[in-house]
Amino acid sequence: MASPDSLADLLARCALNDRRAFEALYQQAAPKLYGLLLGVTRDRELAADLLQESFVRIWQRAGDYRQHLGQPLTWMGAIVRRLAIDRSRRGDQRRRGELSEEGWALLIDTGLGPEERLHAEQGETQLTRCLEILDPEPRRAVLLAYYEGLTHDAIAQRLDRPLGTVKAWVRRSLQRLKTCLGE
Amino acid sequence: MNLHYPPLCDALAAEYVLGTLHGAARRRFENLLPAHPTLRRAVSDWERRLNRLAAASATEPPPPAVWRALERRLFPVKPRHSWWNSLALWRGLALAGVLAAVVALAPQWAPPEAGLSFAAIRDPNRDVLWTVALADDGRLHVNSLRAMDMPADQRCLLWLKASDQPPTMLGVLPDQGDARILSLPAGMPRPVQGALWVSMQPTTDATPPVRPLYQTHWQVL
Repeated sequence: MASPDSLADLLARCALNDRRAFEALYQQAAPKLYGLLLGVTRDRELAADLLQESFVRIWQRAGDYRQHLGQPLTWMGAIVRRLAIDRSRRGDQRRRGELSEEGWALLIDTGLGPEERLHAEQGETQLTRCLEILDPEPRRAVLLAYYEGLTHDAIAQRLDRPLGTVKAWVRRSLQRLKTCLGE
Repeated sequence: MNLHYPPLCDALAAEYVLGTLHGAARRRFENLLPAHPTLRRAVSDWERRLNRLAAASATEPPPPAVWRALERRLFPVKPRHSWWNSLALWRGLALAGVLAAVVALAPQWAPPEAGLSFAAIRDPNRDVLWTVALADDGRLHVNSLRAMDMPADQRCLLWLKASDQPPTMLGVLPDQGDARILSLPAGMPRPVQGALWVSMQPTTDATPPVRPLYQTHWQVL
């Protein structure tokens, strides 16, 4: 069997109105993007609606994808997260962010952390390395904001730390990441 | 918000992309984006940095209904190509400037049965930049009449702005003197109401604009 087409090739074919390429793109990328949406919204129905909306935009804007904007999944992730944050903030903040401490322990502290998955799946070794230079709690704050869409307040509650501390962690971590990524 | 202080712009853009900028501050920031290219660039830089994390997201099979809804919405079953739906026809018409002649002659014509909606988007010098024609199958035939010098990470977007509502995105405008077919969102009432807006935004930014770069109204023949 032929190896699956790369996401970048599929996006290029979508820009030429190739419906089969769009279907293949959906099959390859939707599970990951749906996972991302579920994390931020904690609501299957909303996540499914937003996934639909995201792929309408991906189809309409496939011609805009350029390599310098990052990996295809990075570009699609930006479209998905923008929608997810805007839409889920209209709902009840408290409904979200219910991933258990054990769940986070698995994600962050064991070999199954997102850093390792990044490493294994995308070869994004640079971001992996940069996340590793952050201290565990500030790193966790950034990842909670990214994967669960939590605000400073919600992160402070989750980690049981003062709001000011959390704000400073996030601000400094972002700057450290930028410096580390060298751009 | 001091937008002339780059570290502040960058820090705000970072927290905007991460999602920790929220509430009124987030809305203020979004309202500033259309008029501030430096902020938009900072946002796309941070999206490129942080959204690498998307690749490490947990994987979850989406419900099958999502794909079915997408197919219905993006690829509605339609009658076979009529001359009316031919892209080549519209491209030819636009390039020859015939569309402009049609407008001029319009009052003398008996209206076609369905009523053709179209629009010309002009720059401040009244030069036509794009023509938009709505076919009866809901597809928009958009022609760029002039190749434009666009920054690599910016695109012009077409929006439908009904009164009191935030604008609805119709798609990306071609900008190299070429043509593109966009579709109206499903369930949009006909004839289409409202103004057409054009905005220029970074490629990852689909925020509805607060005000248009150009705008025009539908004309019905």
